[in-house]
Amino acid sequence: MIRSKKVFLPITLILIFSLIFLGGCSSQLSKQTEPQGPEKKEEVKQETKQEIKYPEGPVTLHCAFNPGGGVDTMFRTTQAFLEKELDQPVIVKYTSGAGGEIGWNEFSKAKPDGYTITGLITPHIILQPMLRDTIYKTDDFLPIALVSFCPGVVLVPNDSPFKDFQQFLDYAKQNPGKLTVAITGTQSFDHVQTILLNKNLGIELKMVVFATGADAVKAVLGNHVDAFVTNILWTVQQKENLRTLVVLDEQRHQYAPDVPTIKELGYDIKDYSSNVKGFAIHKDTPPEIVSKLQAVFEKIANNPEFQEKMNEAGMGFKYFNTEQALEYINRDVEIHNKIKEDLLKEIK
Amino acid sequence: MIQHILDGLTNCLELKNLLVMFFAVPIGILVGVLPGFGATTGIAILLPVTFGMGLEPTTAFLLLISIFMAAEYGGSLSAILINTPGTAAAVCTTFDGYPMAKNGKGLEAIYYSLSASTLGGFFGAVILLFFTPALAKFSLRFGPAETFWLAACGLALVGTLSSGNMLKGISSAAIGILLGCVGMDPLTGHPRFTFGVPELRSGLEVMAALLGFFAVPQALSMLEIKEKPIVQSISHGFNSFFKIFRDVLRYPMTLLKSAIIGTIVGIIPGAGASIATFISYGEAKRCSKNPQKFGTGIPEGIICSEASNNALVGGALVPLLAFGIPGNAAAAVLLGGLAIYGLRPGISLFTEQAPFVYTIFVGLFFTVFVMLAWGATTIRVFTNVLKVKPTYMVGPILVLVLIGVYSIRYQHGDMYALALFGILAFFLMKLRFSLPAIVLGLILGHLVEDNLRQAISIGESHGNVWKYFFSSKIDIVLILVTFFLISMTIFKELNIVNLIKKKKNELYGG
Repeated sequence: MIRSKKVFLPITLILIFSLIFLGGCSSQLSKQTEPQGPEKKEEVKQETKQEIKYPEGPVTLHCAFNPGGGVDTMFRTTQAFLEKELDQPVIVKYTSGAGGEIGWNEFSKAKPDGYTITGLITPHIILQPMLRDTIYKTDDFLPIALVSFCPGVVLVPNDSPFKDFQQFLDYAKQNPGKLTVAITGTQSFDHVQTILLNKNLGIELKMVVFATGADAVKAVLGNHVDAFVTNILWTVQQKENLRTLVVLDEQRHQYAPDVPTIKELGYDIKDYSSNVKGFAIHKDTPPEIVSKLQAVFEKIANNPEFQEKMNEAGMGFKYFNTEQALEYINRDVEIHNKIKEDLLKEIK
Repeated sequence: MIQHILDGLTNCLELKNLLVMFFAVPIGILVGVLPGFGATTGIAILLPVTFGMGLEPTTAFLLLISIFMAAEYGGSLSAILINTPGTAAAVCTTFDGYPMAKNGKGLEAIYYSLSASTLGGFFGAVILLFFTPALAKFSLRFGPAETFWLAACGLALVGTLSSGNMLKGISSAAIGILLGCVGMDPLTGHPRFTFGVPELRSGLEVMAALLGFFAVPQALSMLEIKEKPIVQSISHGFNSFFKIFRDVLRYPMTLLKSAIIGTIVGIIPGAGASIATFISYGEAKRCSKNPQKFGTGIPEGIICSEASNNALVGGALVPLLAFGIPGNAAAAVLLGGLAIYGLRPGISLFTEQAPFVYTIFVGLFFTVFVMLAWGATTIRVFTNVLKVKPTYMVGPILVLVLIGVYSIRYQHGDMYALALFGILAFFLMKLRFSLPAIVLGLILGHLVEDNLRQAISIGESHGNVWKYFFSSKIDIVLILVTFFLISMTIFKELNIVNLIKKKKNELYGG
């Protein structure tokens, strides 16, 4: 039997605990939306009168994913270069969850003062607002520079009977629904690539969804599935174990110079989209700050040392300035709009 | 190969490498002790530091694996002292570790944990050193169907975790599985049980649930304890440690079986550390002569769980180095580290980068011994916790847990989840539901669902779904083990029920 006295104390404590806790959280939340650089309020007042001095304090690189992922790697590679150019400390801050959505929601509400630079990544920033009800919108982002470009690839294990893409394609055409491909997550880059392959080539690849890329590789290596449709990063990481049949782009990629592109094989590739990563600020950021950051990132991107480091880190370096980036993203939005229905369909 | 091992040994004996291991191990123990911080967080924090310090890859990796190994041991300290698993793999250590501490044998419990951790870690290191290529091939044979059966086998352990109260045990596991369903459907991307809250889309953070289920109700029930804790019955020092170390060796079968289970589960990518300890615990309990004593604070309960979670460290490195497939979350961060240092995992790494690989292998042995040394000398610091009046521990525990949960993925939502889980768990505990079974369901539910649905997709493409589930030898073995576990449970349960009936008849029917 539980004595009522014994229960009373803990329950009271729970209540007190949760109250303090709720209070603590809300104040933390409100703190976060406050400006991050020092003396931001004064700066706002001065904005109209005189030239904006930027940056006057630490600049935050905002990562909407966990440490160790692609965006984090891009940030860590850039951090030192950016600190040198801005002459201010550069901090990496993480707000992860729901494939980046949580972090970008927060970013879209943050003050557009140029002190928060987020990492953008496609197709995430395109698909999330398109397929679900997100707070942030794709055009909240003003891309400053895209620095990573990874096209899609089709990978098979080294001992696979498919020696080239033509054999793979022939088999797929003769056996609709029999050829299994591993993809990572739904409404993801891999998912988009497979839908585009199926649509444009008139085949029916059977998708098997895995939670992480490593799980997918494991299944392909163990011959539990026939192929892995993903981005070129895995070509580099699994060079020894997996064979790349085709690069889903117009031009060959520095990571797989020997692998033919789908265009070379004679297929129309208008509708292929790649996985790009880069830096973005809020679209309402004052133009002076925008042009300052554009200049800074242009300089970093043209630094051969930076390019080499990015390639080494598996980022697939390619530079797009704001104009090129916007053009690329808008084209990507169109492509994804065309397959919206397919993306929402249940994978069977 | 002998030459490689000797080279590795020479590398490890370099002063800077020895120093790195010597200082990394206490950091590892500390991140393990702190609830919510674990090997994964520790490695993730220190990886950029190694880069910043300009360490060579070999030295950097010795540092990181020292953290990995030591954190798995550190997790048992908080499990024993405050009934809060410091890492997910230390859940099973709470079952017997904390009761032992409550009986005044906290120090002994930690010595048992240290001894078992050392021996388990040693076993894993031996396997890694000599059998990596062979085991790497074996790990690939675990496809979706095989992993599904492995997880099913894990779920069948509910019986051993809650014998005598099967109905509550099964409903506890069901609650766990239901909680695990929160988030996006893995196949369709549709949100499930998210109530329109975007934070819930990526599912509940397992560690938040874990700490909610163990730390919070523990802290709350500490308020109910009035008297001062019992002081330790044995003295500190190496003599008593060696006595216990010898005592641990008296359970060779438990040790060996747990270490093997730990290594194998470590090798299977994606299975995770906690399932290894659950299986070891279940297995040790099943084979024991007095299974009813498990959970009351017996050394075997600690030995099996700790031997398996440290053996897992060596195992997890097998697929990581051979294929670049991480066996668990901590190994995944290590993989990121390899990439940053420009090392590409693969079988050729063993020939091209032999000095690196073998230094790591030999280094693993060193970390085990450094861990032993630090563990034995710092025990005093940690056991002081036992002298504190339980009521005073409540605040610090709750604060630590809150910080720990926030640090996992920097989401405020996880702190709310922790509070909710804590309150829920307090009442479930009072109603005598099995908290370990809930955690088991939560952890394994995902594994079962993902792999089941992947296997169905693959089976469909083969034209026969059912056949696919029974197509390999591993499938058959795992199915047999699962059925064996279930039938044993039913058999024992019927016996217990009969016993209770008999007693009642004696008492009342007379």
